[in-house]
Amino acid sequence: MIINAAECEPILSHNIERIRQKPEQLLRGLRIAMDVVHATKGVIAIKEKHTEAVKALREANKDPDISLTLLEDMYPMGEERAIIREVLGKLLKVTDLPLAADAIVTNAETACRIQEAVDEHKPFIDKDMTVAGKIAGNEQDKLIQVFLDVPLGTKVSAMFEKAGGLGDSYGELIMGGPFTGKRTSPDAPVIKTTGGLIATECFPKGPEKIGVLVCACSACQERMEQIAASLGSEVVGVEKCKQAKEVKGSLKCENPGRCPGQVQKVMALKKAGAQAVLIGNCTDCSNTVMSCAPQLGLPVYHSTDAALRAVNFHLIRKIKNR
Amino acid sequence: MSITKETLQQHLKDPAIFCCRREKGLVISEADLEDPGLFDDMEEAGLLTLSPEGLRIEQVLGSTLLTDVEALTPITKEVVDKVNDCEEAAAEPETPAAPEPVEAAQTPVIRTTTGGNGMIHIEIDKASNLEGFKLDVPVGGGVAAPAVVEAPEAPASDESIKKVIRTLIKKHIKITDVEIGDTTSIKDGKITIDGSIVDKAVKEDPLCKSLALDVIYPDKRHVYTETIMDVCPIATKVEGELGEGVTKVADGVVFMLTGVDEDGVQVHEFGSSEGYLDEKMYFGHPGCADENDIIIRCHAVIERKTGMSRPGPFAAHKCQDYIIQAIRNELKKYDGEVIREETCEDIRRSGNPRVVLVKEIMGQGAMHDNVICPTEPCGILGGQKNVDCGNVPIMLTPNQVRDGSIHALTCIGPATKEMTRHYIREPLVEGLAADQELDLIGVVCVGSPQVNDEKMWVSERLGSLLEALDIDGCIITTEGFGNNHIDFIQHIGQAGKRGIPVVGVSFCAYQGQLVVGNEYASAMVEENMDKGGFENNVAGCSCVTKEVATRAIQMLKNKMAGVEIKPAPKKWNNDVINANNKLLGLPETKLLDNGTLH
Repeated sequence: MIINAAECEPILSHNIERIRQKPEQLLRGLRIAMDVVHATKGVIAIKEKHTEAVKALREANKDPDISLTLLEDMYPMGEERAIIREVLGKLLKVTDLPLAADAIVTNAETACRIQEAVDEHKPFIDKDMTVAGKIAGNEQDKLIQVFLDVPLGTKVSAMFEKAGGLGDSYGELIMGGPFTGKRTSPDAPVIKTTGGLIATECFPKGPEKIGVLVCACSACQERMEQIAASLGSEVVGVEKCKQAKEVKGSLKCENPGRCPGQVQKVMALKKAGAQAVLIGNCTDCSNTVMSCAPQLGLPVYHSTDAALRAVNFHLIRKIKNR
Repeated sequence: MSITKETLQQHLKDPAIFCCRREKGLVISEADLEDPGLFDDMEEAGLLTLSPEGLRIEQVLGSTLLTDVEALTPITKEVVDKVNDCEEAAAEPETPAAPEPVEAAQTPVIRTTTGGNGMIHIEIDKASNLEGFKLDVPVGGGVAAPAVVEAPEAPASDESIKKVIRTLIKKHIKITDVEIGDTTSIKDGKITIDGSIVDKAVKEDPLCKSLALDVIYPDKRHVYTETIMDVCPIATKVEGELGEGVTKVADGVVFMLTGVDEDGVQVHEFGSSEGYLDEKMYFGHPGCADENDIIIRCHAVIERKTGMSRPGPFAAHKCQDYIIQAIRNELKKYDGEVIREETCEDIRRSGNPRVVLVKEIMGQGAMHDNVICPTEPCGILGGQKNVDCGNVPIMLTPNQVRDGSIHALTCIGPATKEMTRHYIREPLVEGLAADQELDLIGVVCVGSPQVNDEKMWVSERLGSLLEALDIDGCIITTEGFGNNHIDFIQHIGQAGKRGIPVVGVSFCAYQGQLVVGNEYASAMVEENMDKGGFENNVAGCSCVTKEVATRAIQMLKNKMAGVEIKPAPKKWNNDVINANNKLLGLPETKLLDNGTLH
């Protein structure tokens, strides 16, 4: 039984915040889940960089069957098959479920909600979330705020009010994380999968013609086209990453976070008439795009740019040598 | 982009380049390496600089990376824990340590042996731009030179049964002079054309506003001409239908149609061939006037702004045909000197490989059209336009093609287009029909529509036709470049995916580089004869010639026999073509310097 505590999307912080505050709740939830499915081992996969949460878990853990696996800080470490690869050293096929590796993967918050359901008889009525971005005042320490136990059904606008109110101007509202979130509206309700609410930076004016590189671990093609439209750019070419394979209507990456090369795709987009490329790729693939697109005279836009700019984060581009 | 295990095997001796950033500790496998097939494009785009210190793929497989390496950097011995030992012999010619200039052509090392299977085996160990080339050609009774393409008694023909389906006699009638006079007649080798015929001819189509005739003698070709819309022979049936019986062809004279609209705009604007005639036609090529031909120039002025419509250019062809018909009628009666009698046969050679020639012809509309199977050879009347037929594949017999079944409305980009005269003496039709090792089933004309969806549709129809014909191989030609290459490549794919060996023939060179491709387009023959590799607006310059046809037929035989065809270098290089010419004993392809070399 593997707990996905990667909290892989940048900006989102509510999972780690809950673990930091209540490590014993997660450990208890995991134990219950292990008992239910008769799992002999429990693993919590968490990024190494969350030192406080890691320390809290280690101190609280008395269960010899439960251990921690520390992950590198890279997108998409939280992808189900990436987690299994990191924890068990086994790369599943895109069509495989985790059971193919004798494992079940569940999210950290889900495990906590299991604890509430079993021990406290509390139904699943609340959700943790991160509210971020262009919030009134734009004070550095308020750009990213965590709200625990928000009642489902709360309006998106109410959450931004709680956080200090929406700024005068923003690009779009995203429900979810910068990579995989979707555009939402102030009147939409918070639902059981809402992990983040982000008011992004205003969109810059993009080039007249743009090429889109679709990745399996990020925004889907429709979402990419929506972003291109917000940039004021016409999409003249669409390429899919070589590793993105369609499974039941959505794309899955054959080897998440490990780039198969993108040069040919970028050259194809240039040939299609693109003056810039819009990518949604993971850290490693974005790095590859950055090693060729600029040399070809193609500026690079990333689907997460507007969200990351709103909180003054580094954009997803070239990997800096550590 | 990372490669598969299969691709890896083909590229063991190619430079090892990481497709992406790779980190210390990695054990190098195919998943980490960029596809060497892309190196040329990447070098051209400035993305990649190959280094002499770079290791080859076979040297780094399984090695461990000692440091982080960025994408598109050559792997050197400094960054890996070990370098695999590989044969030094192999390394010698492959290592591009000091690339030799192309001009420094090495003397080809050719070994010719006569094997026990009745084949001549030619192996070239090293020649400029051509390495490890092997060729097996059938032995024709002790012939020991490579030029045995049309070996008279090939072993294969022993098994074949020759059956003549129909015969066509082409009588070439000697014409020595042409004059514009009072009555149309032919007498003592001299054609006289009634000068007032233009007034009647112009009434054939309201879009044609005026016609003018003049005679251009071979020694007086430095005259200005408007864009050349066609070169059309004077030929007529005296017995039987098109493709059989007897046809008379006037020898030593051709019609040349030129045209502008009422505003003086060339019918072929942009890509027109107006200028001095001696500089604007490749005399001697199949579609053109020959060196000593008298040219009857018919100049048409068509209604303003109709040059880019379908009826406009057609009107000029129609009106010219009225004039030619008057001469045809005289030719029928004329009993002059027969300079040459040509016997053409539609033959079935059962037991030989069944092949078809597919000719992709223009079908985009406006002047991009052809009249198929007119009543008179190379005529207009009685024929159907391939555009009106939906550009679907139409099967002609070799004799029908050789009897002028195709009247071409030659279009923009005249260097790479086939004119009416081209079809009546198409070198590929002649070559395939004469080849005793093959069974030429027929000639398929397929139009090239303007719209992509239609191109795909037409191509699928061609695919079904090829399948039904149960052929063993085919040659597909096209005229022009760019737009028509879309369906050209599609056609090759249609044949290829049905397992039919296919050879493509086209002008590509520099300007016409293929914009699309597929795995079946592996045997391609270049038509270019322009120095810079451009469409040089010299009518008939880069078309199917006898040399092109010979190379294409040999390549088809090789492909059908399973002889490996080496991939062409990424960039067009006339040396490769000449190396093949040399193999086949053909004259060197000399390029026309028309100021296009950049």
